Amino acid sequence: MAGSEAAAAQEAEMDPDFSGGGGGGPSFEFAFNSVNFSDRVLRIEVVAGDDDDDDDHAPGSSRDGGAGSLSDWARHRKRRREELLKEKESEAVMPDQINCKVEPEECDAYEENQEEPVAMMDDSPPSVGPDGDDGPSMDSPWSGGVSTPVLRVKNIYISSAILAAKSPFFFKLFSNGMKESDERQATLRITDSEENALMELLSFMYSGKLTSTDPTLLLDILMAADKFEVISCMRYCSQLLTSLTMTTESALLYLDLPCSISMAAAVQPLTDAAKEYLSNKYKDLTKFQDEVMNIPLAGIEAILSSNDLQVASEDAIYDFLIRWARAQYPKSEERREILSSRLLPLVRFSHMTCRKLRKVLICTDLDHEQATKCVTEALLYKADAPHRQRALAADVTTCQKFAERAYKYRPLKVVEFDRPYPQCIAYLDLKREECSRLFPSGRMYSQAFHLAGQGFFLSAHCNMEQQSTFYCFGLFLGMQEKGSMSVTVDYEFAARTRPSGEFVSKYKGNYTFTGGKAVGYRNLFAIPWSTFMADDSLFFLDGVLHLRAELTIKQPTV
Amino acid sequence: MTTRSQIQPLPFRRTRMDAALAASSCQAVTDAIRDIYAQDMEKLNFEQLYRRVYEVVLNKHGELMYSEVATALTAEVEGLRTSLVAVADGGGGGGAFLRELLSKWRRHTEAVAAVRDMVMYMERTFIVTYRKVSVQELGVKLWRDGVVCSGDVMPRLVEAVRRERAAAAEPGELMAGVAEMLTKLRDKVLSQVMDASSVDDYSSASLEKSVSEYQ
Repeated sequence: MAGSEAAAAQEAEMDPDFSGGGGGGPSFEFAFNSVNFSDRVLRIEVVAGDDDDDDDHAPGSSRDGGAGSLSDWARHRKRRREELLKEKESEAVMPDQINCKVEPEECDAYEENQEEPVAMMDDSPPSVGPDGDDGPSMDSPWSGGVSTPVLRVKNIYISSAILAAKSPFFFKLFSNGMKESDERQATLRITDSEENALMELLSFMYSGKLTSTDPTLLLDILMAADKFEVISCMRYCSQLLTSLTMTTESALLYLDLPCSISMAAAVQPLTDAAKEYLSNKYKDLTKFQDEVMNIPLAGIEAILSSNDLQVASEDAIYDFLIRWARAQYPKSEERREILSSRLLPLVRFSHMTCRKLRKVLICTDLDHEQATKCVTEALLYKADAPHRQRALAADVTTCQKFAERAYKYRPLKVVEFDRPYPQCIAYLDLKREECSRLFPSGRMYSQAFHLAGQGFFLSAHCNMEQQSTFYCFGLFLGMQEKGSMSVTVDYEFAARTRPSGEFVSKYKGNYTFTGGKAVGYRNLFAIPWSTFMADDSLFFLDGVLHLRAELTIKQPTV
Repeated sequence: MTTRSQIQPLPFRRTRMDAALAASSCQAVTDAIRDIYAQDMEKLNFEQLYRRVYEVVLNKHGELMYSEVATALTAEVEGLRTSLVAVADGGGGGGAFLRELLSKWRRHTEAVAAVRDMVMYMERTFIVTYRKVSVQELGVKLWRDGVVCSGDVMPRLVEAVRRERAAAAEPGELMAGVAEMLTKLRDKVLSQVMDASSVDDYSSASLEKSVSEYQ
């Protein structure tokens, strides 16, 4: 229905005469390649396409046009090598498939050719000569002097009004005053790789239907529809492809469409679906690290754009990106270029630790000026007033840089004091959904914070109560492994509590820590898990659990 | 040491085009623009030209194609301005100059429409994506800035309009055509010309009436 509406709108724009009759709704399948309903012949010249061009021109191609074409060139060259490898690997299988597909078409073309010469000689001898003479010599898109050999010619009886109603290209082809407008035969020159798709497209223009469910062919048809401006078919292909079961391979195909196609409104739902598929599948980046390491650039961009990415911290994302770039772009110049233009914008520097930001500044893979800019921006964000931080994280134009992801190590807000004695207060906010996922025995760690030079972290648990009678919420304070000091800490856990929303102390204690130890309380709120998670729970304010841990060192360290 | 990729989409079958080939396709398109302005369009092959634009844009040379088209249009408009300036003032009113101006405006708008058809793939993709000025809009801008508002044309236009307004009791078809053209150029060109060529007994209400009558 959407397709029909689009077609109708298109007709209204192009020519009022078609708005009444066309509509796009009825099928004209009966008229496809039918001499009885035809007013013109479409001559389709199939020429050799990709392989020859690749082989002939790839080595000599120059890289111009700046950053975009350089990275694209690198990508194409790399893919070309892999394509050759793949062709070798599938050598045993491919020839059979090719033969099966090509043979029927050859027979068909042969039959048509047998019919056509007679008809054409009878009907339009004058137009054949000039076309035959002019075509090869005038049209040499791939080389200056040598004409591209025509592999075969197919003639299709067409109804120009039907094609014009569906496609602005055909509308202009038949009406804009150039040579084809007055001729009964119009010629389309296509590469052999476009042939199947073009036939399917022409059939769609008469019937409004596509029969294929093969993603590769549907993509070819989508490209043909884009080329000949059949927007209804672009939309239809996009819908079909979106409805097919998506795999990593198919999602990457959809994201690898040429820029001019992927930007089209009709195709956005498909590319959005592909991005969503990849970001969902690989959101546990650590678990799928080896697999993601082999994903090409478009996929990496989709995955690392996701807010739901589950990594320990933004530091881990940065480390992964550097590793990926080094593996995929061995040449340092190309690597620097791709990092600068496509990859660094994916990193949310403001959520990186200062320790890692220092490493960014000295990383030789990066452009120093850009690295400095990213780090400065991150530090300014960290130092900014909280309300401005929230505004930046929420604003659509800046959230890609500042919004928090689903980090495994939850970020904290920390206030530190040295006098009259070392003390720090750490605030940890957990969403209801995050708590819910802890059941029945999950843990969630905070990022590290420091007291008297020693690293600590908080750990939220769903665990069994001491007497093993029910599940409950536990909160623990842990000391990081590093360092051999022992330190005695007074600690207090508190949580905002309804109805006042004030922090209410839940547990106090003191403990002498040594490396790697943790202490806390298995049932912080003295209630079962189900009560804790209930809709009327006292501890979730607007769906968020607000925890506070206060650590004090009152005795000298030993 | 390149890690061999294990998840690689089937490379999209796409021909690659180097800068030299892109340039030769742009040359064919700009040659066609020259033929279009020379009113020699019947010999052009639409499919061939459309395909060249498609291939150039698809292979990421859209910037080159766009700038070459803009350059070619600019050159053609310059040619029209030169031949317009060469028009001798006939005896009496400025009618001859105005008629020639309108004739060249008509030729320009028809040519721009044909060029827009030829590059319509670029119009729908590259121009939209990169927010370039559309070919239609570019044509208007070139005519306004390169012809009507140029130092060679504007004074004669003002003088010719002044004479026409002084000579005729009622605005005629010629004046209506000029007003329509100036209206389409926007940027207050119409009011600029009318103010400069003002005669006391002429009213804007009468002008507006004549424009609506002839549209």
